[in-house]
Amino acid sequence: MDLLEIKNLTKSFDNKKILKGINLKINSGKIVGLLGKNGAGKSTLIKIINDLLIPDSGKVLFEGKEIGVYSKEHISYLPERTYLDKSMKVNDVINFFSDFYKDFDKKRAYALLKKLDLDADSRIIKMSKGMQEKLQLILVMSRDASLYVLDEPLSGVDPATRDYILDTILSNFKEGASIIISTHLISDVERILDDVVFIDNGKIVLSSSADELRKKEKASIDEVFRRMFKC
Amino acid sequence: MLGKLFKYDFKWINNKVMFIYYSVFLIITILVKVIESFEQTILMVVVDKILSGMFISCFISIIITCFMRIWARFIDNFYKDSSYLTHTLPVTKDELFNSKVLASIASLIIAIIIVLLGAFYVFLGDNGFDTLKIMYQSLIDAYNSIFAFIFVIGLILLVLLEVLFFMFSGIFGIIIGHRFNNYKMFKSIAIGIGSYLLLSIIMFVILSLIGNYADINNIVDGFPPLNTVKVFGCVGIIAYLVFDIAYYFMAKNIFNKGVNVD
Repeated sequence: MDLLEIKNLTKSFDNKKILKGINLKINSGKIVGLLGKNGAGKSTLIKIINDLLIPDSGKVLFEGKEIGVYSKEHISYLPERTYLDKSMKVNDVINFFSDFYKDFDKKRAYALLKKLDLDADSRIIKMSKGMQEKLQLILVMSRDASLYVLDEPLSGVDPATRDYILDTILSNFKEGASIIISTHLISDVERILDDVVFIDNGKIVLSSSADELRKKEKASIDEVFRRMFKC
Repeated sequence: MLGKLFKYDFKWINNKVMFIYYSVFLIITILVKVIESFEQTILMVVVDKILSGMFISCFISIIITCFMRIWARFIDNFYKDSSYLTHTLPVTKDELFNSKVLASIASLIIAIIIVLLGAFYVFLGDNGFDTLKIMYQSLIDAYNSIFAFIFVIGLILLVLLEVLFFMFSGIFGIIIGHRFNNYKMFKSIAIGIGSYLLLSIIMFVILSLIGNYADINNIVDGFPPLNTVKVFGCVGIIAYLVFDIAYYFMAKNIFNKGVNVD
């Protein structure tokens, strides 16, 4: 059984089709890059997987079941925006995650926070945007989920922070779990990807193993992407 | 999970802002009584009037702020940035919705009790309980002791149902208004106010029709006839109960179909 299966997914906003019949399967133990230009439909697809948007048609199945309480127990999602209640302290939000997610590892979260030299008593509203994003990443990666869905985790951050984010992702995800990383900063994530999915104008234009694609095109994923989507 | 959701919703609605309002209200309530005990010079009369005005402002502000915090919680937690966390929690949509409704009702009841206690202390004074006893006795004299008790309970229930009616009209407007892609806030407010006005007009029509048949002219010692009070009371309670239940189920069913977050 596939970990995640997307069947004929369509979604429109104001008569403009954003997703046009997406079909995709994700297996366990894979790091999948969901790659595409800005406005290709990556975030819309991810939001539907996480029950934040209602599709016009089609289905998303997690381990054969429709998206619901079960999938949310096993999917850990990092959105492209900060979603934490800014009136809370770091301790409060860790307790919040611990209250709702059975797979949340409090010890790991505090250990990761200590590495960042972040005071657990500080208020989120007083933290910089970069620190808030790092805190969110720590919370997401402190779960022992079956699927991690990370929407543009590298955008808007400096190169050193990008390395930190990638290292945190690689060293903290549950063994055997899958990760979907949506990004347009391909050269930064290429080294960690098992599979790649290119999405353009609401359609999947390419789905392949990263190694096979590099062998076939005799180029890096980044170069293949630039050739395919040259303006 | 419902209990945990309730805890966070209740804390958010009754945050520092409400605490400040309650504290200021308490201070003004005490000051009003303290000033009354002073010799009533022109200055003291002026101060008393200012404090009475502040008391009434605080009274109204607490109720309005409580409603605004309730509606803001729905919008913020279901449709804005924090909705990205809310809708990915491993809880059912029913639990998400019911938690907010329960936290809203609890917050409103607390706000109403606090402002009414303050009003009781300020306007009825140290002999407040005696004044209430006299008022209750006149109710017993006009009707009978059993009905007087039912009347008081019915009045409390009616006020609570009316308050919930106002709260649900806002929630209903938010749930429907945010189904659209554009002008969500404008549509939420328009639908909320529109549904509130429409149902209020329906209520008015029902009561007017009953008024044609009920004996509302035979007032004795300031009290209408027993049957008239029973009919109007029952109709009012049943109508608001029906409106509240209809609002609740309609809003919940629409919410359960899913959301389109910003």
